[in-house]
Amino acid sequence: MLRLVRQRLAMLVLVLFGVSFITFLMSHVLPGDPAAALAGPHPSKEVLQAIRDQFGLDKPLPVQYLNYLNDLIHGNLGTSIRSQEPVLTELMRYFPTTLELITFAFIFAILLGIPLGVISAVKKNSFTDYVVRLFAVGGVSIPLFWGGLVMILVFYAKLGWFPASGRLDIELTTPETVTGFYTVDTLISGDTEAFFNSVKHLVMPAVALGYVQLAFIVRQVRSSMLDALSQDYYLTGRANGLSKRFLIIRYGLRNALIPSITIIGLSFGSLLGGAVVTETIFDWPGMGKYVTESILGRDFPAIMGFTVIIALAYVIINLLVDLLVYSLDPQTRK
Amino acid sequence: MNLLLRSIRSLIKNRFAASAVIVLAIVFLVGVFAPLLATYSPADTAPKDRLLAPGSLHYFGTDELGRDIFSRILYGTRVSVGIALVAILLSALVGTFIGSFSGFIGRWIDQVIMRITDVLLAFPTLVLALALSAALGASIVNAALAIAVVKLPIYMRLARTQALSISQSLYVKSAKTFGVSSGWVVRKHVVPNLLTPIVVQITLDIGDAILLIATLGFLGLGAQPPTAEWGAMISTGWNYLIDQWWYPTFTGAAIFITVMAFNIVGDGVRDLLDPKSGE
Repeated sequence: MLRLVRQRLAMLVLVLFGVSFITFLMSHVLPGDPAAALAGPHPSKEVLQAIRDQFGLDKPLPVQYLNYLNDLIHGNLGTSIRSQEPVLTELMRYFPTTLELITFAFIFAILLGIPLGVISAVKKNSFTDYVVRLFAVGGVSIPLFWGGLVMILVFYAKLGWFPASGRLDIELTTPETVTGFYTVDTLISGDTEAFFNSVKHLVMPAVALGYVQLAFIVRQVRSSMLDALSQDYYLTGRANGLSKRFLIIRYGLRNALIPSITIIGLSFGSLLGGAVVTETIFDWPGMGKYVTESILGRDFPAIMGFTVIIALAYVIINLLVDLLVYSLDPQTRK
Repeated sequence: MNLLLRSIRSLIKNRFAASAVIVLAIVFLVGVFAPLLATYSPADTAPKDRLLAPGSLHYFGTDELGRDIFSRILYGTRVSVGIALVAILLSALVGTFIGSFSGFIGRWIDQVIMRITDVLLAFPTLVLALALSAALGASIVNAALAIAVVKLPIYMRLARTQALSISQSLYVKSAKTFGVSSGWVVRKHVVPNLLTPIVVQITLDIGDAILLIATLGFLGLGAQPPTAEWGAMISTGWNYLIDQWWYPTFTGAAIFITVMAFNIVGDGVRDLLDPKSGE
């Protein structure tokens, strides 16, 4: 196990080098004039030259890359054009907010996805199976931004069941920051009204975001479940008169979950991408909304900083998933 | 009884795929004949007809400049579906070439190329596409390029795995033993075996590419106004959601139906070729 961790960490370092190279290409080489990209709209000649001097943009590319790498290692992601604050500081402020959203989206996708996958496999090729699969395909077919809008139209504008934007009603007091999760912080401060309110705010964005990943989970669980149910132990159990329900849950599901955990875990990282759109639609003040505002404000350093942080988070989440799966599988545990 | 039940089921199943194919055919026809089918020009503004509700003159209503949404959706088919097709085909072509090359040559070249795919896969798809389009500058062509790059590692890996297993297969080895020229082997054995999984992957990816194009358009990184592109239309349309629900709703429905049809056909093609998922 320890050897695997070391091996994976070495791989991680290698991949992160590659990632830094790609973000370097995107920020220093691809834009026609990187200085203009960094300067924001309508810069004067003096400003451009000042930026070139400051970032060493006149130096040869290899030197620029080393400088860039040095900055990254020291956590310097540049300065936001709009706020003039360090991009890293801003992103760290928004990170827990995004994490809370994707965690709830993930919980929704799992809680609904696993049972649907099992039902779909058990009732293979029945009407139920088709309905479940159609519902699942819908998740990967619906444009996330439009799905969110339709939800707002129905559940906020028409029915008024859920709030359409933000994390908390404005008349409620924001909880003191401990974890950055409003659902946790409100409980810590003992404000139950704010707790239920923050959960209410989470419902629509989490469902919209989680629905996309639901499709992958249903597909994966269904196919591993079909595999598990065609194994000898299942048939032997049936022949010995054990109930179908007992066998499906006790043997089928437990065996089907091991191959599924990888896919399910990877879907957690994928939620980071969808969060960009979801946060914009539901006015959820996280990193995703930050980046769409940066796109609108042509805040290039902020966009690139966001890309670096998301890649880092994505790689680390996937590494943790990998190690978790490894430690759960009895065949590889030793 | 059982046989009857089964054929009814397969009929339902085929109906799914069949109706998806019909939908796709309609989408393609709409794209090709958009100028004939459109009731208005997609660019003509009419300030006094702004934000009209759907009716007999404007089937899907009008937008904030008085443009006919129905006609804009029809023209948008060309942009959204067309660009997605081009991006995926480009990605598949380049990726297959690099990947199969990597698989055949092996050794360190293979190692390097595979590490490149690792790095490209270290970004969530949408985030990489977003960053690339932002770096290249917001335009529909750059958005297509970004999508092609983002999809590249999938084709590289797929082609590499296929190339590896084909070059190790008994029939290629025996063909070589009998002195068949490698050109013949590539044409008669490698290409056909490589093509099937690539084509399946392409059908599965087109839907996703349409969504990506629309999402970039929505974020302001893809098609720029006044281009009639679905994502960009929703990007302005969602401000009118509460009072003029038709504006973003019909456009989104067009994306949803088209992508859904592509995904169902893609799934069907995969099931057809994968013996494990068959009945």
